[in-house]
Amino acid sequence: MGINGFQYIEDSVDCMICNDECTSNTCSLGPRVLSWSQDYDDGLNCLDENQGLCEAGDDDGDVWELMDATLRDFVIVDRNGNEFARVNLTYNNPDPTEIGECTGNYQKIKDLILSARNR
Amino acid sequence: MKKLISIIIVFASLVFSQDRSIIFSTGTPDSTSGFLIDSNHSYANRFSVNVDFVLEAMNFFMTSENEDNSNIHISIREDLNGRPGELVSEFSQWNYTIDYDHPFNYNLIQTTNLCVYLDSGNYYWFVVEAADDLTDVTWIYSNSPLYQIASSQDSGISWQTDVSYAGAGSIFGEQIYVQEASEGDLNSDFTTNVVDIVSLVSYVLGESSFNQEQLIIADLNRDGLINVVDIVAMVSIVLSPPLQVSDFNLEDINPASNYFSQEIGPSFFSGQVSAYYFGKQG
Repeated sequence: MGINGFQYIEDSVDCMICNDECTSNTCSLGPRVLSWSQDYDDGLNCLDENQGLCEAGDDDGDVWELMDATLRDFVIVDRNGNEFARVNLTYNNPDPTEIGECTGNYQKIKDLILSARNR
Repeated sequence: MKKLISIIIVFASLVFSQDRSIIFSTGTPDSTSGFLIDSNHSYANRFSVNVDFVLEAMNFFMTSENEDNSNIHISIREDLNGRPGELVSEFSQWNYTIDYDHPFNYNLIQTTNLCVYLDSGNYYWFVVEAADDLTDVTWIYSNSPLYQIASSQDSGISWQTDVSYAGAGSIFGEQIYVQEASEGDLNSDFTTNVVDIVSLVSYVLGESSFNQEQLIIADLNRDGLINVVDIVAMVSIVLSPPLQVSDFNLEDINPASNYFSQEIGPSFFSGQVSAYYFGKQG
């Protein structure tokens, strides 16, 4: 699932989910089917077992705080809810075309997801 | 006009730095003076990489003093005892023409599909040489004088090094992802589990062999021996609790998703492998 940053809360999600107003060139492939959520700073995810791990009203998205995420982090979680791997996609571009054929990053990240099934 | 040029250069820099890592950069130069490159004189900037990269693009600020334009050779070379050495690969040399009437002195070479690899922990050289006797270009100085450079007065046969102003420019790369090995991961599947224990027990009993990499991984207590102590250590690793992610719930706002309008998060996907991308719209 994609989790939008709290700082981008006022931005349109049209191009992220590729609805009718989308102008992204990849939208020609059709709507994106992966889940997309908006993170908030309302503290609703900071209750109970998350008490003290995030805080409402601090201008940081609660879930981003909980997951200690930075922009374009990709976190793979195994079937038991344990973090398996974390890849920042800014520095490790997963585009499989052109230079991606040289880095192999796309295949490596795919392999990581598949490997997470074994834990 | 100068403002317009600056804006265009800044815009170009942004475009070519998106999703790329800057390996080396002097920034945009303030002056127009620089190294004079001709058939005898060559110059090079030294740079290093701290992770593995694939070379993606290079820009350099250069102007031709020759009305017929000037042809140069650009190359990325290995470091040989602190001086430019061999080409990094057969694809790491480019012929380039500096236009006499180039308005911005900004030149760009993109190398996206050449697979020029730059290995972590090494020094490299960005080398500029004349391509023919007519070449007469100025490689504009960087603003700062604290770069390691090399100059040659015999067409690159011998090099003299200095700490000085560099030739202005930048080098961009795409980082190669390397997943840190899980301690004790003998079969390189990114996790340490009972399969690795079985493999280690088999080795200790003399029923199987390891390659050099596995021998290093299996020696968990780093005492130079692979024995029952390492088996105990590996069992301890397997039994130690992994990092549990904090649970949360957020509404799925993508109408095309199977879970549209539902509250989703790690517990929602319990029992399945799931992945979370922290991004922004657009």
